[in-house]
Amino acid sequence: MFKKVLIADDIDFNDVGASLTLKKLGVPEIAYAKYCDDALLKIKKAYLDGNPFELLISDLSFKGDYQVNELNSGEELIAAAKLLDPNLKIIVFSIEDRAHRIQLLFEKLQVNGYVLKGRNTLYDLHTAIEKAFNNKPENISPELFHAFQDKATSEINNYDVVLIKYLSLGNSQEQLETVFKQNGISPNGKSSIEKHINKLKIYFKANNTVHLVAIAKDLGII
Amino acid sequence: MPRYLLLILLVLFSFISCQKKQQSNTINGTKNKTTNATIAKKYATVGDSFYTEKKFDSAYYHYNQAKEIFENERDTLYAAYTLIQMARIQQISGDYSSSEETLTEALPFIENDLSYQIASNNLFGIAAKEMKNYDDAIYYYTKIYNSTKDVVVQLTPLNNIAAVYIEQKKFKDAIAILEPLSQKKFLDTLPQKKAVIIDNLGFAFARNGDRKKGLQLMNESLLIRKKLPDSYGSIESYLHLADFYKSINYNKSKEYALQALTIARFYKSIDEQLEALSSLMIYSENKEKNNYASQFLFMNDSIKKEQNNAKNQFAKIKYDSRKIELENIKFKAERAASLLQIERQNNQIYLFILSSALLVLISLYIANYYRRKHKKERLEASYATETRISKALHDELANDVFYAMNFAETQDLQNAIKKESLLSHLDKIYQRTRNFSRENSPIETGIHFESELKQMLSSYKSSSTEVIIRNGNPIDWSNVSTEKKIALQRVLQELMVNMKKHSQAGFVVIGFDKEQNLIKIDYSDNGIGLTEKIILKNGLQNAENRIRGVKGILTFESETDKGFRAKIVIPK
Repeated sequence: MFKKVLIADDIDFNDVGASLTLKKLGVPEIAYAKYCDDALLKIKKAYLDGNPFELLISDLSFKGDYQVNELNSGEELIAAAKLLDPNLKIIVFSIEDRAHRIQLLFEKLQVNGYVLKGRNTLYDLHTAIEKAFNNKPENISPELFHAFQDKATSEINNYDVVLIKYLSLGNSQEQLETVFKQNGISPNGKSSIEKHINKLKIYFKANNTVHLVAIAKDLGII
Repeated sequence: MPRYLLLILLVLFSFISCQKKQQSNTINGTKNKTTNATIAKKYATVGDSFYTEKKFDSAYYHYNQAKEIFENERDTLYAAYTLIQMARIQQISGDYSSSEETLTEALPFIENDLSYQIASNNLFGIAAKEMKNYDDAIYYYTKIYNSTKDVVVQLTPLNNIAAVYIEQKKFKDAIAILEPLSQKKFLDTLPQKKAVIIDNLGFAFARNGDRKKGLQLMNESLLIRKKLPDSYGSIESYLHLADFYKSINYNKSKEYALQALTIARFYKSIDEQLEALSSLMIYSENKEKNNYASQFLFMNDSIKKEQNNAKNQFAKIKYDSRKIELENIKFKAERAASLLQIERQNNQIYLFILSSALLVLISLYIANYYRRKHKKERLEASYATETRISKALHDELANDVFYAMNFAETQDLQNAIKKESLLSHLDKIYQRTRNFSRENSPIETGIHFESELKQMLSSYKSSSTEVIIRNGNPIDWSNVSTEKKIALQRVLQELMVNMKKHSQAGFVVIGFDKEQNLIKIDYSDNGIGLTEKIILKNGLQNAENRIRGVKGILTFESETDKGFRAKIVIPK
């Protein structure tokens, strides 16, 4: 398990939960920082002393302060810390649940885990620390798993609209292949048409193509 | 307020500058007038001094210069004076017809001045007499005579009339005038005049047959003249005596004629020289006669030449100055025209400056007006947002928190079930706060705008509601301004929140499309629909304002049980 961990969070009480978890995991040395600048300073000092932190648990959002800070967000702190010590492992601990922002953290900053603050934080954090220590991928709170999945959004395009339109004109799924070929619409392969129709059926929770057309018409898609 | 002040100052400034210019113009005007008059008077004075020095051509030139200016300045008396002097010079050089012209020119200037009238009539008379218009001459002299009651002044015109009669050989008429005049007592104080009168009277008597009386009077006159001495006047006496003796005593006649010739030569008086020579010419012996005749001819020729020269010269002086005058007038007209043009240009410049200043002020005002309006709209929008947040905090959170507090106070939290109940309740509150924060969190407007927007829309997905995004023609979001992105994000979010709260919709489709330069976004759901009233109540009015703020249009379309549709059109 990690020997030396830094918790960067501006709210005292949150530290308590985190430090409790760390103690349970048997981490002997735990340090705290309330500001990003302060946190970076501590990381730097430990690094220069030859006794660097092994894990940084950081929030993303920090309150403003009377003193002017160089670093004002968790992202900035993480970037600076990674630059200083690429071996430092990082777990983000935040209420941020926007998939896009979380994806960025993993892609750009190579964080080692993400824990959403919530009812299950202590348990999630426990798991995340263990996963980070063992270099496990997709180290994220279960509520946010979808952030790693492409199917987060259901999107259709002009082709799908044309497809429904031709269905609404009375063409059967089988006829579409020839009709599309005649009208120069592609893709017009049987399997790709079928694939698209199946996708649409799932999106619109339609039992059959007639149902699909009815729903699409109701929604003004066609 | 300072802007209006500026405008007023500007107007005032231009006004003052115009006035100033006018003032300086008038000052220049009077100044010019006085300087011109001074110059003209100088010319006249110079003319006078040349005249007394008998340098008549120079005198004529200067008088003419003076005259042109005086005429322009409408200084009538000076103009009359210079014209009369010019006529006098023309007569001295024998150019009588030109002198008549000059005098005619002077007439309009002397209407109100007696002395000038007398002088000009006298010159008119002389000219008429010399051109043998005797009746005219008598007319002018009579005019002078009638214009005064002063007997001394009347002497000259009377004598002149008599001289004309003598010339006309009307000796009796001459005698009738001169005889009563010669007996006047006051003549003794004016010996020169007396000499002239009795000389003429004597000559008239002699020619009229009364030779003895005539000779006596002529000798008397000669005596007076010798005594004075009036050698110039004595020329006339000698000539008259020469004429008297021409048929009785050749030697005496010749002697007098020679005397007259000598004195006339001294005075360079040409007419008298000629007269003397013609007397000598008639009576001298052949050789002598030829001599005098050739002298006469030579002199006559040279006189003619001189007279012609003088005439030409005077005409030239007059013509030149007339030409200069005309050029001056032309130049003045051109100058006036160019001044007018400059003035016009200046006016145009002033007008231009004024109007552009006005334009700047107006555009500043308009810009300011729109900035204020825009600011006001923005403030209103943010105020609406604030009130919406405040209301949501009160409705959604405060009640729940109060419930949790109540629960904690009244229930035994040692009980695991109760504790769990409180915790899950608090977790609900926490999640709601988190959603709340997310709804009002800063918006990514950079390269991740589109994905974040779609994430936001998809986050309203639930087991009962399907959110489908329809992609039409791709929109290049990097070319869309930040305000438009924010407005779109907020409005779509508002629509989604509304959908979740009220619509009971199973499907929501959000379509993104681009047509030419328009971004078109369609929202449609299959929920219970919204009435106009609910639209207003649910802050969708605010959404409409937001879209209008970025020059877009938001339209709603809703029927109960037929779902809800909204169309957003924004120029790219």
